[in-house]
Amino acid sequence: MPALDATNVSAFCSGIDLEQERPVVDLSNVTFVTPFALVYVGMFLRHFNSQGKWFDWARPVSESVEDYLAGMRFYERFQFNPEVVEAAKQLRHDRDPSLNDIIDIRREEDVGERIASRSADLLRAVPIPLGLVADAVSELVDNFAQHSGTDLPATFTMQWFPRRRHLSLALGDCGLGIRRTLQRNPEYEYVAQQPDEDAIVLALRQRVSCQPGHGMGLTEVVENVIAAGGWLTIASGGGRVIIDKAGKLYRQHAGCELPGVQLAVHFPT
Amino acid sequence: MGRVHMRLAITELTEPCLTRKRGGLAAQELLSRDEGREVRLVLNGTEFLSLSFLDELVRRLHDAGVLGRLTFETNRGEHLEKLGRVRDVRGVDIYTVVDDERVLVDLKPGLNLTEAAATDQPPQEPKDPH
Repeated sequence: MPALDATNVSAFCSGIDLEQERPVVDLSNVTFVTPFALVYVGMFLRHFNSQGKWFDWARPVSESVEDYLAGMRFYERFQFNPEVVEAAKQLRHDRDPSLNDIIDIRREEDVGERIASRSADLLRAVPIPLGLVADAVSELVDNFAQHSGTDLPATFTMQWFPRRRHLSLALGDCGLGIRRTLQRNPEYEYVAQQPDEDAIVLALRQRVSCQPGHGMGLTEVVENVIAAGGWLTIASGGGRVIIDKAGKLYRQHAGCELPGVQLAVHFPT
Repeated sequence: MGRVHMRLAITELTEPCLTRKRGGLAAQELLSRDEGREVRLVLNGTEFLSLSFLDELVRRLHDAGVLGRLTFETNRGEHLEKLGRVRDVRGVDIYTVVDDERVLVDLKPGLNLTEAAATDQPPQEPKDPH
């Protein structure tokens, strides 16, 4: 598993043996983690942290992965065991804030616009319409703040791939998830009987929300991203939906039941 | 439209113009300044302007009976597209100004998402950091 990405991250998480007292997260063969996979693994760990699980590692062989995760305080952030955290501290070097920092986000007043403004500032060197990114980030973070129903922080990160002219933004939470959130609106109680991927697709439609009169934010994000030639991955519960740049929907069953919403937005640059 | 009696920049009402909550605050601020006259609201000065913001602004002003004497002033295509989108979703008349004429913004229907065929391949993320 050289690269951990949207296609294999749920299987990776399913492979972590939670019956063990100290479950091992085996990063030994991983040479790269995409932003989506990073927030997905993070939310998996955070979800089980909240149930009292702490994790051990099989240390990354790849120095770049090791340096990045140590620099981002990954092992503290997602509650690995103290000796793992201590070992990771020895690997850490001081570094300036960068585009691909991992940021934990709490449900606070105006958090959407704050994260959007900060993201736009970090992206000023990237050839991309900043308004588009700011709109997407504010809507997605705002959705987390309004609908996730959890006090556990969400996680946000970005990565620019300059040679591939590609920017990915990823945001994950381990809250209620799309299906349970929609069920709060009596009009959509029926989604309780449907797969998560169907609930995700329903939430993409305008005016579909747990709150009557709302439900344009996610629709806007999808439309703007596609109009810009980008695409999205949205996972929630056991479902995953990819929306490509032509507006085609790929419904997939993720194979791992993870609470909350984890998504990535991909822009050409 | 005849003489413009009140001209306001959106940034005088709130900033940044992102999120539904901010749209509600902008509407509240505009209503607090409303004197029953015609209003021209200038959108050009803001760097960011989200659809949720505009949707909430329009919804509140429509409910307050003010939308009919409001004109949005902008020369940016993305602003007009978002106003057209709100007009399509809300089913209300939203006006802009072109050559000093008050005109309805063009409707902008939503995107039509379709199911991928079994033979379609989903896009892939880059798998290295470059």
